[in-house]
Amino acid sequence: MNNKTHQPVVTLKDVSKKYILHHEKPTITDKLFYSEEFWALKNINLTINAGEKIGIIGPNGAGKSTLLKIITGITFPTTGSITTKGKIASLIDLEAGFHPDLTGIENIFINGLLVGMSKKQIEKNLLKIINFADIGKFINSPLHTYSSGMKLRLGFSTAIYSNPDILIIDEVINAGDEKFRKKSLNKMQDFFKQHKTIIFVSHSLQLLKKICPQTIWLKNGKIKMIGPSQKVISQYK
Amino acid sequence: MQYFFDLLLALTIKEIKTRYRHTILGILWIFINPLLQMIVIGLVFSSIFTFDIKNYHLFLFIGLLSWNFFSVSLNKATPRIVWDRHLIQKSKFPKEVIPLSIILSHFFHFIASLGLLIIFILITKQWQMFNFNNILSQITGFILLFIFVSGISLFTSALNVFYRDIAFVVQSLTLIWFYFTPIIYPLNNIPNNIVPIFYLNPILSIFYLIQKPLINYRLPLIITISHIIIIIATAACGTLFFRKKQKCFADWL
Repeated sequence: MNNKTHQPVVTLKDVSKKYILHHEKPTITDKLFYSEEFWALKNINLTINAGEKIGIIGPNGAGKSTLLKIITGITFPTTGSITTKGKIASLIDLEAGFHPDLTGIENIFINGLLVGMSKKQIEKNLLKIINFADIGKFINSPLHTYSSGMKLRLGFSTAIYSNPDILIIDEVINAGDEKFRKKSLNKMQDFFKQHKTIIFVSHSLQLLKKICPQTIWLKNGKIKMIGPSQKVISQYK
Repeated sequence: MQYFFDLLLALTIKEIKTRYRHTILGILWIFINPLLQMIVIGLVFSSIFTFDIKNYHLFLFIGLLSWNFFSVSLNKATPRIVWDRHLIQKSKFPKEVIPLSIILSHFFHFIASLGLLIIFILITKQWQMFNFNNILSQITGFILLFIFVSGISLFTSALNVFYRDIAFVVQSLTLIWFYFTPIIYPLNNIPNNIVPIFYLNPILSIFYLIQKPLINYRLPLIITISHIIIIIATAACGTLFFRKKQKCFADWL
């Protein structure tokens, strides 16, 4: 390990996130007299260092997705501050951005740009992406002819080849068929060896224990516990 | 910056490509629509209205094609952030590209239909009034129209995230706006005492510049200049508003 591994890459200081609850058909009178607040995250303080593999667990509605969205920069904290270093890729909603009438290659370009790759980077990695997704001659057919597994593989390959410094994984690791699952796990292993930072959200505690040495337990928008996975998971159960 | 334009271009091309996929005539539709429109409006309007314009059909074609670009772009771009919510929830990218790519793709269609109009003008040998100065003012008009519609769309598409009524408001207003702008009629057919009311409409100068070769009146320079200032200010405000509001998009979609 070199010195780079202990630099903080994600720092959250006192981060809270407030949502205004929207009710069905908000009319003008509703808006004026009725607004309900909901704090999805409250006073989160967290530092993730380069090369760390950290798991996040917690029941539904604990704020896991909100936390990931704030780290990826999709949404912003209501109070507090966040700083991140390096390129972040998230394996969330892999198929979003695909257009059913465009071919595999055309979709790789659009999706690649959307996840933050430059055009040159996509051109350079195009063959690798196609090979990894392993969709054969379908690559030049419109996406609506693909099976759902093929679409997922294409999304995964595009995201994984965006060469992120921080990779955020939200359950998708279990997607696709057995063959592709093994392949994507291997690819993850590569990321591990390269000392990349990984944030992994999962309800599969076994897998989490295997992959991440550290785990955060979120409950009602607060960090209930943070520490070695073994310890946190045994408490969580 | 390079990334911004690559993304914008990719989304624009996606808009154009997906529109004509699985159509038998394909890209030909770009020309068929304006062609049919020109034939119909040429026949209908020219026989109903009698204004003292020598080439009324040309006046109409160029005005209606431009207005079409303006109104279709605005109405398609306004609800687009809401429609593309899955993209906004997925990753972090400059969100301006969503409305702007819609406008660019319609601008491409507009340029194609202008090409058709040029062919028509050449065949019918009506190019005498298109001298260098006039063409220059037309190009200025097209650019201003693009800037104006971009500015308004950035504003309305951002606002539509919070108040979904905006898309409907825009739809109604563009229709009213059309009849209050001298596009199918020339400004000098309006009674003199209400002309100052028309001066409040900044898009008036854009259509004045675009239809300039075909009209026989002059707009006061001060009016045109103030309209251009309003248009650029609108674009700047729209961009700033969008930048400010885009932080909360993901929370409202």
